Amino acid sequence: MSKSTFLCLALVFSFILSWIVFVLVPLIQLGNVQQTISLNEDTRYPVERSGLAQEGAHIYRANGCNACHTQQLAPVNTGSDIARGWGTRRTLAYDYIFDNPPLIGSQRIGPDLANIGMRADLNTLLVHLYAPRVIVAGSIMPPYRFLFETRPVGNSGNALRLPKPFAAKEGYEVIPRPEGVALASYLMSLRVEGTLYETPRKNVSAAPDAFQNAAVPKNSKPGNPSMPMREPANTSLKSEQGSTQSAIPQIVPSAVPNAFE
Amino acid sequence: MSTRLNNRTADSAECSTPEYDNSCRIPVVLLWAGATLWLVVAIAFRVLASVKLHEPNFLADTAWVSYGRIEAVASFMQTYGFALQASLGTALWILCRSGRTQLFEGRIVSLASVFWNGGVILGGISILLGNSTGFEGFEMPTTAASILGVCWLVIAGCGLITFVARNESEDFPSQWFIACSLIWFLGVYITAYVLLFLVPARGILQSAIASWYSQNLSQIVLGFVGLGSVFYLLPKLLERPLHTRQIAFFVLFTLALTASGANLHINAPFPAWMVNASCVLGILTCIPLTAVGLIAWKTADRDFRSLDSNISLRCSFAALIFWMVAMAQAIVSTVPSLSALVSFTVFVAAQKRLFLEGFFALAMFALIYHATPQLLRKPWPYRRLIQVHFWLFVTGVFLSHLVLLIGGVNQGTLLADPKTAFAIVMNALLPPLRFDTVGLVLVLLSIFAFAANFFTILGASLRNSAARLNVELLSKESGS
Repeated sequence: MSKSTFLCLALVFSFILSWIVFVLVPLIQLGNVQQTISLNEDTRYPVERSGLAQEGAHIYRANGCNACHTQQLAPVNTGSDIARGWGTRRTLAYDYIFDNPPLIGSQRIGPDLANIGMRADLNTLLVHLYAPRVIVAGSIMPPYRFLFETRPVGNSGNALRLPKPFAAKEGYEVIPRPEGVALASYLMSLRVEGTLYETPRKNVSAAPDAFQNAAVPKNSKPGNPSMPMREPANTSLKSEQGSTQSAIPQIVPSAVPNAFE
Repeated sequence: MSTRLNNRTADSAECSTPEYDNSCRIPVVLLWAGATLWLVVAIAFRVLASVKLHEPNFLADTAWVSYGRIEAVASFMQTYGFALQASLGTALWILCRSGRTQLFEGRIVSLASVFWNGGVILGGISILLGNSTGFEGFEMPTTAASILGVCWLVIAGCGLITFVARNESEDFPSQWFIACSLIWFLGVYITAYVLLFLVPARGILQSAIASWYSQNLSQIVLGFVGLGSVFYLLPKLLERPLHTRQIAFFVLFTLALTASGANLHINAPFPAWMVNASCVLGILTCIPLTAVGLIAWKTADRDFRSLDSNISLRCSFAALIFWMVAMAQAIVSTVPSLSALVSFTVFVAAQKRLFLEGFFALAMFALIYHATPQLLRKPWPYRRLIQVHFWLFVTGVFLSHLVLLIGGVNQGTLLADPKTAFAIVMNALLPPLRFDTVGLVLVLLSIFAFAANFFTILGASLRNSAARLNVELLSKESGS
């Protein structure tokens, strides 16, 4: 065999090996996964997004939110994500089966959003998008004011409640554009909640006010006291000692917050 | 094939320079000119993105300059506008030179390179308008991706035909590095194109494929072209053989085997076996890393005076050192315990940028500084600017890398402690990000110096050709 033939074969072999390991076998293993039934809950998981939330996913992708935010949580033993209250369990391939494309990100300039839908409510998210520093003092997230419009006070029920320095001038109000509503509704749809066979959760007591505690330095004041953060659903988690399900706490389904009160 | 290529030799207008230089002059210069322009644009976007990262209110009210879009467009233009285009130019030049062969169908290659730039413009505009795909390293939407794919197929195809039809019987490692890179890109690109666009894979698989693609794109495709051109220049300019050719072939094979993983971090939401396979492969890259270290050490042979005598040699050697640092850093971020610490921090971004800017761009500068005067038969117009370019560039890259490296480790350590509020983590990141802007501005200034030199020599050469054409036309007229 000549040297050229040998080199060609060696290189083709390396490519095919890499292709089989990282493309073909994962395709066979995960290419056709379907919805499943959560352990000890009779709910299907994951749930497909609503049309509005899918629109929001496009806004999220278009503006490159995934350049600063990840949507993947580390397990308890190799990261602080769960301890920070960003979620109750690690993320798995299962959690993303309806994501097209999955926007898992690779940088944490901002906090993880895999579970943001269970940590915040829609109004807070909208205010946060308009003026991040209202919610998180000292935030370095840019304001996404182009997702909102300022117009003369009308009869709209969905104007943002903003504190003084951020509020619109007298006689005007800030309301979200459809893109803003869609984006917030996509964020609300981000919830890693189904208990799966691979993630029998230990009873993790997340910080009672995960979103704020994780984000605000202790010495800074909460920006807007008129907009309290919703208590995360998992504060009521209790493990039943001794039973077979002790490792798998029940998730209390959280009520869908009223969008525009 | 070779007879056909040899027959074309007779048509060549110039006899003073080798005919294979004439055959690839226009395509190679076109590709390098495009690459230089895109590098300026990409680094300018990167500076803007970097400023926006620590000054969140800067230009915040315009959708198309939001950080996410600017960052994506900078990365897209740097990879597809600069890196891959410069790779193609370099590949064609080395394949023609080392094989002593004329470029196959130079006109078609020139045409394809124009279309390639069209694809980059289209992709860039689409991303700014909000049509990015959301995959790192594969940001351009379908139309631009199709144009780029077809252009690569045409240009790489012509390059490979030139390689197969080579007249030189001896094989050099650089040729094999480059030929492998040309084919490898087609393989990973077609896979990504099909499984992300045509028949989108289910859920998280898309992320796995995008990650595999971008790992192969940087480590294998760009890595091989960069290493190939360094291995081409070192023996030529030092006037002694590479130490040794066998080790270089060993690097080629082991790198193709170990750097073609998917670079998944330890906590990624993929099946555990995939993460582990990727981790094992990542750690095994220490084998080619050691081999390259050996080549660099033995070839340089402590003869630092010769290394410093020539700008191409200096760039090549600096590129080789940056490659080793970037690979070592990649290994560090693959080791499970460290991966958990640095996986989402700027440490990883610093590694990627060191590979693309520190190693790859410097390797390209080395070859462009070496080859352009030969191709255009003119010396570089501003010799001092070359020194300015090199030192500003290396300082900028080094500064950015150092601050992001330290900032990344600090960010990871703070993130690992759940008691540290996230705002404290973010604010601790601000000083490194500000220094990174300074580093990037230095890099931008240095690229201006490079572009000034490149386009002046190109302009002078064009004026010469135009004048020569005029003289020929006049003599024809007077003759008739």
